[in-house]
Amino acid sequence: MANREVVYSTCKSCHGGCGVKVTKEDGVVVHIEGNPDSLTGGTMCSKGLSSIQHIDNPYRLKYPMKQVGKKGEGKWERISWDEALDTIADKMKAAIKDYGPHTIAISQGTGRGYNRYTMRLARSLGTGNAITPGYVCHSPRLGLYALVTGYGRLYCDYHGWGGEFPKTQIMWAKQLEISSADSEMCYWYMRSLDYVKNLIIIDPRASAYATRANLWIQPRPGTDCALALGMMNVIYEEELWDKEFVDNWTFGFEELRERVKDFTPEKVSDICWIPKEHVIEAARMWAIDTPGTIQVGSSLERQANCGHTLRAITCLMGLAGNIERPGSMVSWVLPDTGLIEDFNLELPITDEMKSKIIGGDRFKMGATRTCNPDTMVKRLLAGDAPIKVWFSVGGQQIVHMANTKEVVAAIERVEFMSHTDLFMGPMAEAADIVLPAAHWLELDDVYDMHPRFMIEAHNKVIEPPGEAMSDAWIFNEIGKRVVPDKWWDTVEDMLDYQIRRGEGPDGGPLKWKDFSEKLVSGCWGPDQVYYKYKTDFWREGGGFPTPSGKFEFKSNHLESLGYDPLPVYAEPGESPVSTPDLFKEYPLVMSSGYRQPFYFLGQYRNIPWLRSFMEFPTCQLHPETAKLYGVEDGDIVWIEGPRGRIRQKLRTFPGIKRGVLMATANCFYPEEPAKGYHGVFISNPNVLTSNDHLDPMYGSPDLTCLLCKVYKAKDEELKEEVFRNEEYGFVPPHSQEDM
Amino acid sequence: MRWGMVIDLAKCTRCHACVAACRIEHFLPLRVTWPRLIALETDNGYDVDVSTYPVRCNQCKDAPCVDACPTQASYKREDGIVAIDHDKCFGCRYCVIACPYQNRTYLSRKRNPNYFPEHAQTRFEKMGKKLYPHQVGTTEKCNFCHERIDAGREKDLKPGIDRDATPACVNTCQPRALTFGDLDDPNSNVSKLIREKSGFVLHSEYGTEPSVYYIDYKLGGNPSNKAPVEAQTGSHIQHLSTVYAPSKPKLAKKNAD
Amino acid sequence: MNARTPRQWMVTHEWMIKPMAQVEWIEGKGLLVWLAEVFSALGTGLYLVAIFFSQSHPLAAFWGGLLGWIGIAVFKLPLHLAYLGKPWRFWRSFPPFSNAWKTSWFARGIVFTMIFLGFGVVQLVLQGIIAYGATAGAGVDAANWIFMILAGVFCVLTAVYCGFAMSYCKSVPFWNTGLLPFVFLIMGVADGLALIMGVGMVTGQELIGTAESVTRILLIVNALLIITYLINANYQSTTAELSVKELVRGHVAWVFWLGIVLLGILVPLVISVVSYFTEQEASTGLLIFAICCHTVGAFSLKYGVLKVGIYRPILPKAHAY
Repeated sequence: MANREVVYSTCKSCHGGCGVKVTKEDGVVVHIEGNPDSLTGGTMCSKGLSSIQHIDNPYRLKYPMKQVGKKGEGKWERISWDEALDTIADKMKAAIKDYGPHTIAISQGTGRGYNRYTMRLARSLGTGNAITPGYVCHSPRLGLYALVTGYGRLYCDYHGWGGEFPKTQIMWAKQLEISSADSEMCYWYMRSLDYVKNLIIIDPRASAYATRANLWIQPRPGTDCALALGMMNVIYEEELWDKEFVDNWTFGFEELRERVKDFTPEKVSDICWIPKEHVIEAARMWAIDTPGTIQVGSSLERQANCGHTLRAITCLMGLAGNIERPGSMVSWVLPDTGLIEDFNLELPITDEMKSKIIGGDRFKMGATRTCNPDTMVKRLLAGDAPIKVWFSVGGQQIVHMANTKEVVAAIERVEFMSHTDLFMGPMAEAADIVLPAAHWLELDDVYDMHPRFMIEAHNKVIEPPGEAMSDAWIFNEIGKRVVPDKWWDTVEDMLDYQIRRGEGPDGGPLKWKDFSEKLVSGCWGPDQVYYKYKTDFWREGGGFPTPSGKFEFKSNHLESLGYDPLPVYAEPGESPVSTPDLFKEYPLVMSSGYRQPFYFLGQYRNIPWLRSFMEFPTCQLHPETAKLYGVEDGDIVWIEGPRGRIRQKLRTFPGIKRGVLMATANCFYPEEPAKGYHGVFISNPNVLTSNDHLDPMYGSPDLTCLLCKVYKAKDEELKEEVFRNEEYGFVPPHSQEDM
Repeated sequence: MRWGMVIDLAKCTRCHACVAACRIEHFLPLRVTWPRLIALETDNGYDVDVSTYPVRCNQCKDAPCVDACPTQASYKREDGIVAIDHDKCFGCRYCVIACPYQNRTYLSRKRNPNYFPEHAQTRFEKMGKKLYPHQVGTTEKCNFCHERIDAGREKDLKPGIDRDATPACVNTCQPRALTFGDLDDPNSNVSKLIREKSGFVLHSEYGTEPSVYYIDYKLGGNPSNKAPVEAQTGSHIQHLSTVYAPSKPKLAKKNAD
Repeated sequence: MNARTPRQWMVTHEWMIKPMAQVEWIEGKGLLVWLAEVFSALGTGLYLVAIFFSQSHPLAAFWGGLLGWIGIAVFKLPLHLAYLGKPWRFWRSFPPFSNAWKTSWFARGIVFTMIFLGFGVVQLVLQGIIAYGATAGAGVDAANWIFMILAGVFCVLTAVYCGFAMSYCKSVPFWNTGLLPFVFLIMGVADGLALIMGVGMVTGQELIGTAESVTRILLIVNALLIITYLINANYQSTTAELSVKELVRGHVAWVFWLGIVLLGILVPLVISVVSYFTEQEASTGLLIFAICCHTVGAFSLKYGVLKVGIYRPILPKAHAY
């Protein structure tokens, strides 16, 4: 008789946090599927399901190792956990003593499930120099929502808890249908589509629903702010705003009218390369058919005008009164476990720490709690070594940051770096010590990627390979060694502490043991509160928690920081308009905003099931554009910009705007040798991006709007192993050539 | 009774979850894929169409593969599913050629390497050889998860409604683009969808009468945005916040099978 | 390529949007199918022609029949079996283990072949007695007749079944036509005629003249049949048209023009027509050359037809194909 066991857990293959049901037979995981009794109704995507191939994956890191050659040479030697952790802790202590705690950088990737550990470690050490990809993903949105609503979180209400689903939905540079992130999940979005009247897709490239939506707008990458201003212009001209909301609850309405006056549909049509009718139609749908939601994609945050783009979009929400209504943009009420981020927020960031944040003097919105990584790169290259010890967990800064060549050169200059990961990758190769991390199937932890209304539990299903350990354990061990008073004896103590405010089955504080069985703690349905500004929720007597107590079209806070208080349109650093000479040499607008449903940023290219879906990074061009530049479908092409060139496979795709090239982002080749950082220079679009032109508020570079040219690669230029990838066993599973 | 599937082209997002679920459910060899996605992207000068067609064995009523099979390894079950008896198949691949929808794959040794070809088999693969053995030298295809259907119906579950009697790809589909049910029952979910959204089959002119239907329509234009009661109360998830799951030892349910 | 041309995204599945050729029966191990089918055509053709000469040239008929039988028994059948994924399960395809012959041309083919081989071996023994036995009685002659008819019928069935098996495939419009089995049959008989001349040269019997005159007619019929077949396919559907294009102008055009047209038809035809006008039998060397050419033609025909078996794309909107 086979011994069958079922364990319920939470997936963190992306930000989603889908409920998972894992079946083991004789201790071996034989089945993964969605947990039918979860918020995602038992559905799961290919990434989560393919987690099975993380188990016994020969490429997994199994033991702590130290670099015995030069950085990037890939010469590693196994060491013990004690040696690894003690070395890191000693380096940190020495740096604190000799240079001050701000010379320690704590970095993360998307930080799924360990954001709060990163931040707590940084703050407990006394450094404000945490490095996160937040400045190009999500933080600008939160900060700017906070400016106008006083509260950093506005989410699309796809749930119907207030009795209404959104009537108009705008997907703005977002593929929510294939992603789930931070309180918005594809499952809920797609359910709400059965009730939507107007679905508007704003994307230069056709996402899955674009050609079946009511309106599909294809703006030139980097011009979204102009589009938002244009839509507001139409709303003002046609007097379509929500009178009740605007009259009673907003501040700066007339100033905004003045600002958007110039942005007539004709002008916007010229800037964005779209028909003016699209601007008018979208504005009417948005303002007339309320309630509505705007789902913002992080592509907008990878542009050097992201601050104002997002401000403009937020103002658009306010004009239509789509704030806090059922079926509009809502900030959620917390579950009984409270705000899980208090775990790090309870250690305040001191003025001393703030003053030492790299880039803090320049990017007054973005670099107040974390450092600006691009400024750090520049300073490392300039030789003033602001970072002595870098403790990196999970993220691939080499891959996702602008100007890969400079990033690599800068990181090689860091005196001591450690990296924690599941697999070897570019960042691991640049480190002096690598620590093996456990996969989500192999750890117990609290998952908080929907922190504003629910947290979930990861339950350990199997033992990690070799000596791999959970992120929570690694952070706690480092914390214990350097600042023992801020950390815990065991991981379980730490988990208990994080959820202590919840109510346990015995009426006492919620304990991890009970939570792991409960799986999720959240606040939904009738427990959610709408129209908070009309109640005492935020402010006695009603109103928003802003300086004026109103929804601020004109931001008092921005003004006090010295920024323009109203949204301004600015061209990308390199564009047909801002650099016409460059445009003559590089006649295509390039973006890298498109994401694949089966990869998560730089992850999963070493999972055969997922690699089979797209074995080689691919760029897309409209068939007519391709013809114009003499390249054909299936060619390996060079994409060249002022800073370098990369190779990707070309697919002609009628769903992309003419004159725009969409490259696959975040690509390196795990199978490539350590030298050359696993092929990070072969196809990664960030080889082409610039880190010189940054958003004044957030320091975000232009990652999704730049200029390039394209031409076919010659056969002799395809010498690398990756171009003969059948040797790696990653051949597509059903190709004709493969008998 | 005739099991059928309705595939919603408007909802499919090309996420490939169906493929992954199938690989797990049937321990598929590395280079065999039963359900597949085909991307159709056209531009006729004034209208762009970006579509994804999930395809899998059509379980035809008049199945050319069954007629073509020289050993009767491919056969038609009473519930309309075209199944393969892998102990009878001798690998002539006539069905692979004869299937007008190209939904059959011959499992050659080359299609069956280890997941990590240079390395040892994973425990999942080894367990798969025991739980769901594949025979190299025979032909395979989607079987509508008839193992799940049979096991579920023994427990009086309804395929298409109860999860444990429904194909794995249908269960995992996040946009709910796949619907499963009985085509012979005019009141079933699939029959209704076909009727209301004018379902069509691929290449009806072949006269094979597939059991996989497609529906296509424009999104948006829904007349009402009022949320039904269960969505308002969140009743389908409400119990999660108040009810505790069984204690951990019980959580690891032991199943004697 | 025009703007309506659908473009694929995943390399994996582009062949279901674009018309793509089948590979299972022609590439890699699939080459065995091709060879088996060639031997099938040559063997059955030779046997059929041989029994035609059974009375007039018993010795050539015996050796020709034997060689044809060997072609089937020693080449065609084992090649087919070698192609199978599980060869030792071949018995599953015929009664009483299976009723598949009721619907499956493949199963029928195996049954026909086995029956032909059975009757054929009896007929060959009888033919051998007639050819070599000094005292062949009337009984032997009658029995030979009976078995000749029986074996001949199953030989024809064996010759045509693979054409029917291919024409059964609805999604390969180039094959999906009733003409295909007859093209294969006629071409097979013409091949048989060519081969029997070779046999005749060895056995020294004077059948070459007869064979040549029939060949002349058959080659012309065959050429007309192939032309009809191609024109028919060209107008039948866009996919079939593509097959024709591929065969006549595409990657396998050299097989078509060199193998099928020049070597398979024109050269033998010219040689036999010249001998007709000069009223003189072609020289042995020339004859051997013609026979070789013809055989190359047989290999080419099957190769070309299998190679350009292009599937109609699966998607409805790609109906342009």
